[in-house]
Amino acid sequence: MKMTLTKTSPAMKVLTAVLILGFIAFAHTFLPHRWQHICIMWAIWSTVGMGWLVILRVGQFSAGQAVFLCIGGYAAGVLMLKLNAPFWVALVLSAIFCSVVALIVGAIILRLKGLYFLVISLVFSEIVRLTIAATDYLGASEGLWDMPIPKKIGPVVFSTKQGWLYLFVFILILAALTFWRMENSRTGKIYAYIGASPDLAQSFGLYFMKYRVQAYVISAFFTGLVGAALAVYLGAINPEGFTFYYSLVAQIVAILGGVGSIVWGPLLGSLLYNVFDEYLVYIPGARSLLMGLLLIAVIFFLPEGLISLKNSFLKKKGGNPVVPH
Amino acid sequence: MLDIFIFWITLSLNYVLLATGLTLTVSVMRVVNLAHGNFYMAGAYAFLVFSERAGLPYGVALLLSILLVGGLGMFVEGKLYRRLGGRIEPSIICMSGVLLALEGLAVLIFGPDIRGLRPMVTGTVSVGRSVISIERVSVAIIALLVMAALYYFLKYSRLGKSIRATAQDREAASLMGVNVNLISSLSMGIGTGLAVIAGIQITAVYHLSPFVGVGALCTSILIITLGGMGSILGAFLAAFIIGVCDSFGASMIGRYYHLLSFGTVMLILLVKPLGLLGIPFVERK
Amino acid sequence: METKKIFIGFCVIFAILAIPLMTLGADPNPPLKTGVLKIGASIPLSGPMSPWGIPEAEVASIYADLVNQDGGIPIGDTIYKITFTVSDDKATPDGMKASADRLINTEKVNAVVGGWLPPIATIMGREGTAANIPVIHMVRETPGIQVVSPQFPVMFDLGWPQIQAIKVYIPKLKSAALPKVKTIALICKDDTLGRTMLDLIKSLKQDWEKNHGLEMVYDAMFPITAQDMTPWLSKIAALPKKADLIFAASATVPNLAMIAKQSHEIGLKVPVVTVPNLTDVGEFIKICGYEASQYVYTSGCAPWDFPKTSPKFKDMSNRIRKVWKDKHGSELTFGDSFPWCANHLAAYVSAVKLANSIKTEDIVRTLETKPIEHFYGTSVASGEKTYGIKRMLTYDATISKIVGREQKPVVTLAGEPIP
Repeated sequence: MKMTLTKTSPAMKVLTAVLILGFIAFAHTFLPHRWQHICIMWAIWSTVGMGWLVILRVGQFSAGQAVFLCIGGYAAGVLMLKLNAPFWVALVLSAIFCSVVALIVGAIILRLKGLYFLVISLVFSEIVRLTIAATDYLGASEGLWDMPIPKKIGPVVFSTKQGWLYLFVFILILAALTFWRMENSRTGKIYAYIGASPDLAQSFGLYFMKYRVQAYVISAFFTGLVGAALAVYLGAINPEGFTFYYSLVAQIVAILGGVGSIVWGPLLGSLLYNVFDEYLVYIPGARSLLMGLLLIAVIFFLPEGLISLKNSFLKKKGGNPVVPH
Repeated sequence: MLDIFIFWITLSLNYVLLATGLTLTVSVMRVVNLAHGNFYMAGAYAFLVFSERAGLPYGVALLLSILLVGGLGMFVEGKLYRRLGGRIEPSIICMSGVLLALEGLAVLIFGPDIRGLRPMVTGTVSVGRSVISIERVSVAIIALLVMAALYYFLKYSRLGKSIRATAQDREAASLMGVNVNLISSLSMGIGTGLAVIAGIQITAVYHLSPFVGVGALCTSILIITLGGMGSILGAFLAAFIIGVCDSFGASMIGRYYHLLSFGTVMLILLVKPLGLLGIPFVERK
Repeated sequence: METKKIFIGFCVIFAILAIPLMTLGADPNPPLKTGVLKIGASIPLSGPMSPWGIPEAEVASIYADLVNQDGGIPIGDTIYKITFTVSDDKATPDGMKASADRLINTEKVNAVVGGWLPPIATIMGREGTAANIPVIHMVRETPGIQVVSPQFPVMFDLGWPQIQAIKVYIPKLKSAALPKVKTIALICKDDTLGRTMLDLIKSLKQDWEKNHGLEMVYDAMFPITAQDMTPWLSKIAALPKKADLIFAASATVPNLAMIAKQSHEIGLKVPVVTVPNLTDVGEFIKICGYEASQYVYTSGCAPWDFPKTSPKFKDMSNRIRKVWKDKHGSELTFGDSFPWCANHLAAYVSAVKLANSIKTEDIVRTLETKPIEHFYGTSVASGEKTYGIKRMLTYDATISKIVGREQKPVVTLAGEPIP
């Protein structure tokens, strides 16, 4: 769904950008720790959600997105702990490694029909996780720990949340720009055609596998990048951190926000999910129950996601109408 | 060697029970019910309440559990899944919601501990030099009976034919006067009921906890993918293939034995992307 | 004039006498200042580890309440009361990080005790080091109190009383209760701990044969995801030399239940000896069946049974038991209710009292130099500062058997010199 935003003057845009960047730059000084953590988690899940969404755009529902977080994280762990690579090198190499895996696997599984791709992506995620849990070099079920803290860059330190806030927001902006550009370019239109009807697209001469694999690889790149940074930020990882539930979060984030917008959807959905997750009152079982009921409720009362609230708001105010699908 | 062979047969029939319900619901609803594993778990807990807390006899408790959780499945289908009109994304999220809610409920009500469920029969029987528990044999027999009953039901009864028609082509069936909504509910009810039976039988052999659902789900999904979604015979065959991988693999390969079943599925999917007996069907939009 | 003088004189005399009399009612000791010690614990309260986590958190909480009831902790002229906060770490890395953040940075606790999932728990160690607060954790291996890693100088591993003496476990059991056992089948789960145990026991093959008349006729590992133990048990049943005992040296409770149940079913009615504690004996019996359960031996270390526990701590553990019973109606089992958390809280309290200070440097120095008393005896620092995955298993244990619907101690290894 395309949305036409209300136009703002250049001065307003600049001011908004300055405010937001200023906020991010100094957030670590005034924001309470709990909110710093939520910011970082928000940035992480927004990026992962966007990655999931771009695969949806080409018509496939990936139910195992956490596998790329896992591969990225473990690649970074191995590079830094076993091969003594510096952080930035490990970061980029992990993302590239993840993309290569996505390329190989995607070439096989992306040709499967909707439901089959769904289950295979889920199963693939579990298989990778179980294999890592069985492999001693990768820490087996205990995982990798004591990730080195990246050295500081000028005034930016990584021993506090400062550097991490910057890094994850930077990755988020990079991903958002990439996906935004893809969406609004010819590629995006092709994705939309493929997503809507692969057979029809094929009959028009668009060899859709190329575009599907492309989307899958780019998605894996960013998710792997986030996964690598996440592993080092946490300081330790183990296979329990990449179960089916985490793939579920990627989907939740995108769908709650609204699948219509590749950038704003996940941003909003991630915000809602992380705030909800952090502040949910703790009683055993209640968390899962409430999360489950929330999902069902949102699907029914807000099926187009949170961003649809904006549309109805705009409509009521007599603003620009929404261009229908 | 005979032991492993018997283990293979009984394990595969366990899997048959698990997967059949799922493949039935997939054929009619066109979406994989991710909450299937947790209905399996919920059925076992319902049985726990009926047979132990309420002290009812085995058969009565079994029947009540099937009705209760099967009914819950039908409710979920009618009120939730159907309203979503078959679109994949909202359906999957809705099912994930049901999955989480069921697990949360189980932890809230029963606590996270592992528990034992009363088996239908106890005792052992000797087959040659091996001894197997009657419990396992009974699970295997029940699986076969259920499959046979399902087969005859689907093939010969009117209702069964309606289900098959709806599975094949929903629109055409509805044009022919089949009440597709009722059929959807019914197949969901049957599918969930099968999950309940599986839950009660299989967790009695192993153990029950709120977290057994996810494992059951992954196994069932692997089987129906291999067998072909919507194909009951396919699920039957696939269950035996995955059973071989798990039974022989566990004793011979060790740590990485799960790769065997996955690798097999991937290989077969390369050749037959729709699974062994899968038929292409039009996804509802 | 005269009456006025007498009156004034009388007032003065009265005043001079009255003032000391007034002070007689006053409190000779002025009231002490009060302080709060915020102690945090990160425990898995949700997810598959929660059956062990939830009782641990509760027992530690009860202990904190009892310490407060007994008058708190007097340090200098201040009486400190404990505010005990538990945070759910879900037993995952990101859960642990969020938990560390919550306890150390948001709640600003004075110390973190307890914790699970080594080595992921080092996430807590890192945050604790950055904030300079002591972290007293549990790993499974140290022979004494140990600094977990040179990088986290405030994180101490207390260890826990676990089965150790794997080297003498079976021989001791044999001489105490099972003299007729001659052959053993060994089975372990295939992970780091399991492999270490298996290697260690296999290295004892000669010794056991020569000195204890125990022959190892089978050894195998099973994958941690395996639910069904049939493949291995049928091999054990088919051995030419029948196994008199199955030693599941490393297995989870579900594994144990399956081994006990299925071995019994296929006719292998032999003792099944293992390590993990049972959180609920009743349910365990339901899973494996009453008859099969009577063959099961596990290790248990309830502080009220443990020989090295001081009378003071035995008394405290019994009080905790009573509070639990009053609240839940059921008995507190020793299965993992004390070692992870309450014990570490006890160590912290001991360290604070010995140091007579709540300052981190003082507590760290005390942990590194003084004997620290807790629910399982007294520990001293081993002087080591490395974190190793290799398990050394250096604690004492009580081996118990399921008799009827309870677990009864059979033999205790406490205080034995371990070769």
